[in-house]
Amino acid sequence: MTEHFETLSALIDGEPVAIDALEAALANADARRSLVEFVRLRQLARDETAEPRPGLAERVALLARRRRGLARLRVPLPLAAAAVVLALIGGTLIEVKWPAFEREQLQPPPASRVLQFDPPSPGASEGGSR
Amino acid sequence: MNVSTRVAVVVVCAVLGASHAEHASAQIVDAGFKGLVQIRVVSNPTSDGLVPPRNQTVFYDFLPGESKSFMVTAGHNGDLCRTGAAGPMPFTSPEFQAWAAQEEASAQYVWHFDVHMIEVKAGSLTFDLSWQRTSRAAPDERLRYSQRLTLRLDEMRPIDLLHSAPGKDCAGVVIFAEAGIRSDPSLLAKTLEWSLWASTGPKTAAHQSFKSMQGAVAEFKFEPLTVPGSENGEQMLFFGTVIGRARLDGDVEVAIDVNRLTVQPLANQAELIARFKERIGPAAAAFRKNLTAKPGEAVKIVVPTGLLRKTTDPVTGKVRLESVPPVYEMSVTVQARVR
Repeated sequence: MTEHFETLSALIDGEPVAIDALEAALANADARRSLVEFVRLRQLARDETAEPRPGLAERVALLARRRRGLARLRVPLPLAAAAVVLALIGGTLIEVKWPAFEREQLQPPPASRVLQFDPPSPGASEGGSR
Repeated sequence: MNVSTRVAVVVVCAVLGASHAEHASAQIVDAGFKGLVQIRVVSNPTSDGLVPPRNQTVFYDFLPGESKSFMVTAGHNGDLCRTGAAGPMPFTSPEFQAWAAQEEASAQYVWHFDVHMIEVKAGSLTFDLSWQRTSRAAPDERLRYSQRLTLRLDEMRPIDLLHSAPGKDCAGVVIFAEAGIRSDPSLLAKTLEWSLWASTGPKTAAHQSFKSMQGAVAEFKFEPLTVPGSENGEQMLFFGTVIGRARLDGDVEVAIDVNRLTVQPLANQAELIARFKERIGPAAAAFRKNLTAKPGEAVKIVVPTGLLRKTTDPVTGKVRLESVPPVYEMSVTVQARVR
């Protein structure tokens, strides 16, 4: 059955096929249905006019180069993932203890007013008369 | 009329008086809290303490600008310790007017108090208190006194004192003025969020944040801060209390008390705690500031302070300590938000 599909696929692609093999394939009902499906797919593909956006090829090529660069490092993927998670956790902790952040909080904000404390007074009574 | 009856009458009077309170002045200001003034008369039956003192209180919640009167009597039926108190007056009910007149006529001593509220702050109130004491034994002798009092929250100030002759059943009678503050019911659930900074220079500051309820006293204490320019590397420790009250207009009334303590940088913790406790005792005098702030407004308050310097007297050659102005002004910055 598989050889019938290969014969018909080659026929659709315009490749040379053995006449005996083609007669045998067309004699098989399943192979004939497959031939019809091949033709339908080919027509659908021919009707599709959408084209890739400009620059796609360059971007694909760039990504491919990056992947090749990472691949050259030969770091196992689980190890790389663990390293990323540890870096994230560590980064969070470091941010809480960030010295510059504390210094900023220690300094008072700009004051809208500047007042003076009143000196302590032993008694609040302010005089009287008899 | 026995003591318990008098107390009941006084309470009724106070409630009725409060419910019929009339604004006596066009300058009455309602920020959302009132100054509570209580006139308390305490009679001490014996000087040996075997019989507990009895006391009666009359009170009124004043808005700034309001005025009310009170009356206190002592010496009914020949017993100085039989006292009465009534107010705020004048009574609107004829029955109470008749009762007050009868009380006044039957007492050996009668005090009339006039209270005029000046201002109510977050942690203190200021009022004018004028009073007059008359004695049935000496009708022409009238003791008058007038004073402006600023009392802190729950502070009690003695106003007048009468002693009995030795051997009498009553040791004496003391009259006190007491202060309290009452917030508008709509403000009682308010919470204040505080941010405080202490600073001894442009690079030496400490920050604290905490919360307090409406009118409650909140304590704070900063870590010792380096004092720029100090000879021996001394540090300054700022501590104190703050009271905040949200106002009806959305602003915040603040009363902040700050004390300071100079400590040696290598002082051990026990010594530090001992000195700190010594300074926060009942005799501790603090710098105070009352202010009204917008929510979130940062207000800087400069703390008067100086640095100790050793100098040698050119004449005697003796070393002495003198206070010199600090290199940088020291301050506490306060910021309050209402929740």
